[in-house]
Amino acid sequence: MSETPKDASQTANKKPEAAAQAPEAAKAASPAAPAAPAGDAGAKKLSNKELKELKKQEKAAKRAAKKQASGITVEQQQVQAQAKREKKQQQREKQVQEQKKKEEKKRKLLDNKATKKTSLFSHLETTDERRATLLAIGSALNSPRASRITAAGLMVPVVASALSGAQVYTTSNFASELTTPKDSSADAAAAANTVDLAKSLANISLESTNETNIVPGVSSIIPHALEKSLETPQLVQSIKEMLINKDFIHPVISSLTFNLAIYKIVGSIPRCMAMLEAFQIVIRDYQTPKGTTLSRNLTNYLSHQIDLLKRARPLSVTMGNAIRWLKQEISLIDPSTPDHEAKKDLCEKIGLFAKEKIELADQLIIENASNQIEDGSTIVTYGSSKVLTDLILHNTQVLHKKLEVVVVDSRPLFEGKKMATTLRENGVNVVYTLITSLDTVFNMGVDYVFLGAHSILSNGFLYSRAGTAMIAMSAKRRNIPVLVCCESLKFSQRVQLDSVTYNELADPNDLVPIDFESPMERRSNKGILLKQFVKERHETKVQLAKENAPKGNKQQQQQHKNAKDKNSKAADASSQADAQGDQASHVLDDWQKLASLNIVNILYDLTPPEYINKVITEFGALPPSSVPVILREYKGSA
Amino acid sequence: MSTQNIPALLHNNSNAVTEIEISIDAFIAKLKRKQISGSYVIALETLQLLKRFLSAARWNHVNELIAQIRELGNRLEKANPTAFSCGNVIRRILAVLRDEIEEDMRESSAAQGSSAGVGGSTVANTAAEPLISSMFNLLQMPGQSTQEFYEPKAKTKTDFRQVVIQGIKDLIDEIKNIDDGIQQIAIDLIHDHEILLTPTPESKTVLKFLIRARERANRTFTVLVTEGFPNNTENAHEFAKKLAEHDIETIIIPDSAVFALMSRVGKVIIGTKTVFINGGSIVSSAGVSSVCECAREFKTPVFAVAGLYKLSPLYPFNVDKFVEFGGSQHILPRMDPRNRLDTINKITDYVPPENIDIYITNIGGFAPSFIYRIAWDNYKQTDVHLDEKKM
Repeated sequence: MSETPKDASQTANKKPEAAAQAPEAAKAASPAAPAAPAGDAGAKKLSNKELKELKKQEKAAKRAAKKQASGITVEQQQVQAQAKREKKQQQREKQVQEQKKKEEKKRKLLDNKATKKTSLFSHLETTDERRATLLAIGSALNSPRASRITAAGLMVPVVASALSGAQVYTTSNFASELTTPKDSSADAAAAANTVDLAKSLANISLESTNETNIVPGVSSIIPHALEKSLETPQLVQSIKEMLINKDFIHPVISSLTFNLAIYKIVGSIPRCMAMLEAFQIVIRDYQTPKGTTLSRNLTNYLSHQIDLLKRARPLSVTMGNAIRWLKQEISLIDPSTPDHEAKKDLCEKIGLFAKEKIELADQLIIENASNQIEDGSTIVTYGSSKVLTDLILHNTQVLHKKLEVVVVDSRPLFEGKKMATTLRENGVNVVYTLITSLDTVFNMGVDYVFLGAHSILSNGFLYSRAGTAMIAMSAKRRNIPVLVCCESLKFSQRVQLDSVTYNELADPNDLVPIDFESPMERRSNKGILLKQFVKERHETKVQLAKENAPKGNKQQQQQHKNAKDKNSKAADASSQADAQGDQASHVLDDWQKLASLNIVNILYDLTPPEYINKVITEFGALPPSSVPVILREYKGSA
Repeated sequence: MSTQNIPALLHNNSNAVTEIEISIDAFIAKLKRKQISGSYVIALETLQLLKRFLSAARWNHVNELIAQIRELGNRLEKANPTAFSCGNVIRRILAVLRDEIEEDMRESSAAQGSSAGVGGSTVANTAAEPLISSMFNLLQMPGQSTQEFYEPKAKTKTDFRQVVIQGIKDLIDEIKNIDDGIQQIAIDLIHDHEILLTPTPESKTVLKFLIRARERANRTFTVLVTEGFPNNTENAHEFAKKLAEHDIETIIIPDSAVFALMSRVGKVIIGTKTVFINGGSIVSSAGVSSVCECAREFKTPVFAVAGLYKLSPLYPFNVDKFVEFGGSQHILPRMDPRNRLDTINKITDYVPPENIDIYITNIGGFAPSFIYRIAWDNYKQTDVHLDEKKM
């Protein structure tokens, strides 16, 4: 008995001629093999594996016995087992296929992806997503009213074709022309989303056909520009909601949104001021619908505006605080007050709020901070801050202190340039440098580091422009005092421990060109199209010359060639000179094609409280640990 | 032997000398205009030049040869004081030569036996050499003992030209094979799925090391690359692209985001331009010292990779002398002419030894505090300052 396993293995090892017999032998042997040790179990200790196998076999035997008892023969059992096995096999195959499909889909998605996410920041919304949303909404909002009537005829067939996912015969030739390029360009992966979106558009158009309120142009814009960016159903959903509510959005808000999105308005205070001003206009133009009161409906109306503002960039803490205050104010309005009076009241209150919380607060901060600054000292700042600019100007011009200011700046926004030029124009000694030269800056005999803030969190961390933390750390290591000027409006209830968990992602493409312009300047760069045109014209000319060349005799040709070489060399040189411009090719122009290459452009970082010596607010100077105290004590006034 | 005689010697010689003069001048011009960059290239070109210089050089005694090489080294160093590898390799060759002389002296004195008192004194001198670390020798002026080597009458059998040229060949071989040695050690220092940060994208050693770790050791890791704006951004982008093409997860970050991301970084890798005797180093990318400071603050290990030829026997008493600054056009390309600003544009950076945890060289890993020993293995105290007109 105990020799059978050996025999079995021997038979299995035999030559292929014996292969036909071998399985049988193996079959015979295999049940015997585990049984063999069972025979002399008393003598030999069983390994765990063997024990398990034994148990399994026992169970199988029992099952078989049961089945036999219930009237199923052994053959039937075998057939059943065979069927089961086949089924399993099929399932496995199916699974493999599905997996393959999924992988393929993933790969396709990756290929189509316009937005790339790093594993580090995959939880944050990318600029591409924001931009996609904005584009969708913007096209809906900004479409000229005149086109609506003509577009209404075109709309339905386009949507219909998108719905069926294929080209639909329409009587209108124009419509079919419109659909063809779209269908050919639409990938399978993106099609689902497109169709989804088109469906929602169709719903809108169907719902509002009696009002002839169709969103013209949207259907033709969205699939082309956005099919790549729109992949998450949530995003599509949010766009749908926004589109449904688009009638509520005030034009002032939409223009503000775009100004924010292109970094035309930057800095938490300017953003907040711009928003408050816009809200004043919104409230002035607001009409309470019938059946509700202003105090109930206005909050709701405003939240639609805020929804759109959020699409541009995540709301700054100042904006959040101001909105919270405004909503509270609205809820406090007595429902019996007449609308126009309530509106006037609110507008005044907003104006007062801005004045009290920002302008007067700044004055107090400047007064307070001026006491800290000694005559003849050197101050380091980072980026651009309105309060700090005012503070330095106040000290040099009103208090006649002699100051040397080092403005440290960083890519890609170059905000410090603005501050440096403002100060320089007012006669302050300014040294302008980039964050890479930080080491030298601190070897220059710096007396203070003054920092602006985006926000100070409840646990004392300073949330500010990326790079601030590095400066604060370097200063602290060299025992240079770090002071933060910050209005109490910037105090936040939030707590956060590191810069990765919550942050704002800016456009990675801003880092691709290697030049000294901020994205804002780059976009406003006029004449790019003209340059492009001139370049293209030149190229066609050269080509034409080439084609004409063979006609002449050889010598002429040679001359021509020489001339051409010179020309092209000159052109090269000029294009080299243009290299500072936008169309020059950069190393990373096609970075999105490289799957493992990523660019992360985060806007903020967190400075731990131990690097900050003092926070100067309108309530006085305090350590960062006192931020929650201020928040609690002055909650009523904030 | 005073160096004043050397120009006269050179003039007396034939065309070969003038030819070599031309190529030296060309090389000096190139150094001055920074037309060659990268310590690797500079080191190799210096060695090639030195080889040609040697084959053209004429001398009566070895000490003349040493003086000539020192003179050349001095000229090259003066041409670009921050091209350290230039001086380093010349000092290495001088050390080889001096070792050979020593050997030769010992042999000849052994042959002469105790016949001459001079021979006896040199033996005593050479015996005293290993005691360099004793307190007494620290106060001693370097170069005194070698003075006594000068023995015009002693006829040496060794062909010093051959020795030096062989030394140059060996050094070239060493420099060319440096990456292998470094990679062997460095690969053991990173683990799978680690996030690395490198602020020196222009370093070829770092690039080769990362690619090798990916391909040979088959580790998967993420590399963060800082941009080093404004002087190094293009290098950084190219570096990142190359890494990404080798299937390494690469993320480009602006220089300002270093602190924000440092908490996620497992190790910081830096390439160096030169390593001083105190363990500090000059790196050819601005902002590295801040990055290393951040790393220190987060207790993230920093390891520097450096070939042996990058070790310099100099001490950075005055760091400003060794750090290079660039023009303002890279920081403020457009300036209002009425309101001019001052700008600082650092090109290279000095990282103090306390912010570096370990140096990986091709002969092993060393703490910054130990670097001086490695350096003195390869250089002679006498040759630290080539501009001294002693010997």
